[in-house]
Amino acid sequence: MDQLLIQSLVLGVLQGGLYALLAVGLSLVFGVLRLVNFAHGEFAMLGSFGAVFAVSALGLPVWFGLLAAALAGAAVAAATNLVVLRPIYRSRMRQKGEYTIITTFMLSQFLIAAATLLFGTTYRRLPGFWNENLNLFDFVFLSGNRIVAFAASIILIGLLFWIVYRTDIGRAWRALTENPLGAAVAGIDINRYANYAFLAAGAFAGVAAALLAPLMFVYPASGTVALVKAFIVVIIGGMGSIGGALAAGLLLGMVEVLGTVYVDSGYTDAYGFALMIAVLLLRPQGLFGRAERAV
Amino acid sequence: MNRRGLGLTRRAVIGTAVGLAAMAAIPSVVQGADDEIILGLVSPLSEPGDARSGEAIKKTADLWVKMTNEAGGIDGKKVRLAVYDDQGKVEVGAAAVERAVTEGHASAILGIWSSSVALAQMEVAKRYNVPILAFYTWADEFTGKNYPQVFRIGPYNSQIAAQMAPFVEARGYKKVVVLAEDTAYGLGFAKSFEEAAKDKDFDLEIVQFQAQTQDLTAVMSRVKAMEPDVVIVQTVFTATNLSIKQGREVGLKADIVTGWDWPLLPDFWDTVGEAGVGVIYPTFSDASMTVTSTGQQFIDAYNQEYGVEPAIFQYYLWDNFNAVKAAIEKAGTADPAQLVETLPNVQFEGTIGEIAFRNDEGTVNFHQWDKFAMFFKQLNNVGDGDAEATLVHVVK
Repeated sequence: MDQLLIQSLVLGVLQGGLYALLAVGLSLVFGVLRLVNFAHGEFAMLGSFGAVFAVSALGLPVWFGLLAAALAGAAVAAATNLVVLRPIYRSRMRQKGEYTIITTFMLSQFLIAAATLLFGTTYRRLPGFWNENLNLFDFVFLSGNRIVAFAASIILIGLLFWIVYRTDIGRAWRALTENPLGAAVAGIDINRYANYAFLAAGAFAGVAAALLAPLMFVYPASGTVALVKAFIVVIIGGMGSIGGALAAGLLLGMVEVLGTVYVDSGYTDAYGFALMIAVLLLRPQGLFGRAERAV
Repeated sequence: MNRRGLGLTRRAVIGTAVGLAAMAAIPSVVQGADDEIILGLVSPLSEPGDARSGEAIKKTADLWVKMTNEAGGIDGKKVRLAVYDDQGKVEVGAAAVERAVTEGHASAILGIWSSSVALAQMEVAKRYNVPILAFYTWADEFTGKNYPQVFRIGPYNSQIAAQMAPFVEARGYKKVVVLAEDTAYGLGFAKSFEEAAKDKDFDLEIVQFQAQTQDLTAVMSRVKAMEPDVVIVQTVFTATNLSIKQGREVGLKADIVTGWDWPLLPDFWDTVGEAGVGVIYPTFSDASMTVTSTGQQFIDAYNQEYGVEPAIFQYYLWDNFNAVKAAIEKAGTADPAQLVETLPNVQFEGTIGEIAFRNDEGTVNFHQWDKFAMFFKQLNNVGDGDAEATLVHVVK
């Protein structure tokens, strides 16, 4: 079989796993609160800076960097929920969706500017767990960190599945997704479980960015592309569907890599957008979404 | 007292207060004082622009203003910068130049960077008849359009391509890939190199990619499959260091020649690591290069102020500022229209030689200074800087 084809397929799957991890938090928040969060990319970016700070500045081990990324992402996400979004979704205003979009977009610009001021424009890299360039049977050439990132993504997405389907928190999230009013009547505290959703979303985004950091670079605007990819995955997979986010992430990764390698290298992002448009036209709720969304 | 007695709600009071605060924050449009000269600095100071380079540009500009004012200003007038961020975006860059002229009352526009943005910015400068100077904006069209307001002290794509093609041939490369970002700079160079390579003894393929990409692995896999002898990378953003790092990750064995001297930027070795060993970069600076007293003064001052050596593009920016200074002194005024008339004929000591513009109408060498050599250097060990790199080729 053609070496380039195998290389492309493997790269696509590995990249897709990371896209899925970036997207699951976004999907979770939307499923639970029906909120579109344009600052999600900055949760990832700040998480990666947390990892860089922990490892490069404090000299802590790499695995601690992942923990720092999760904590940083979660902290920013929780603060966003408490300070920026809760006043909106708990209010009686009619255009909550529109206000959320505007506010989170402005917040993302603010966070990018703040990060630029605080951290500067220099690109930073994070050492990974497997800093070797691998040659697998002369057919696949890639960084060991890419395999680590994919494996970690699958494990973390599996963890999220477990939380959603095997814990009380997950049951509460599913209830809120199915019927917020009914969940409130049943005694589910929307504030508390919304907090949990944001904490999880921020943590996952932060860890995803920290896993990507050894492969790419960390800089203030690095969350912008992450957000776009996350949105495409969520729309293709189905808003509020974590399983859909995983499948869509893998699909997006494959389409982008194969398009870049075999069609034209100048339109990588366009392949993802084309796929998203096709899904919206043929199945607007997403590949695994339902009209009455579910986590 | 009834809160509504005054007909004011709490929301109205807060809204009014916020509005007043916002109005106070808006820069007031005030004519520059008669005893000051305002120069517009329009550069990529934030993402998605090349903010790394923007930071270097701002440092150079700040230092020039500081030193000029300490020396008494220009014709006794203090200099002030009106700084605007073009964010690397065409529409923002054009608007920034317009604001610099109309709001900032700038006598000249300096610090422009990205070719795609600069081509839009020069249209604004033309409209307002304000001089605009480039130093490392490489698109041929910038001076090729022969606008009276447009000047460049620095290289351009077709000239660099003409110097690079013989180097590639001399190295014995038979299969060449040019990896070009999809901007006026990247694609402009690719087109120029294609032209320059026509009579050369090597095969050429051009691979285009998205300038703002954060992952080049798929692109580099495609390049690797072409089995090139050398990959010439023309890019400005994250793809600079990514192309090298991820190229080696996918098993690319070809030599890598960077399009400009970005390996001398502070983040190169931290981000690229071992993959940077063997990289060849072209630069316009070398120990053998003649540095004038003006140039040495700049280097020493920059080193003292910021603790690092300036990159060669900062020398050209310094010359840009001095060109404007020379024009103001010659014209006896900072009026932009007068500077447009005066700049073509200024002559002064630049950082690496005497500066005088070529004014060959109908060519790219209109309002262009181009008296520099190109040095190709190779990095041999992690951490190598310009001083440790091996000189492998010179084009004069």
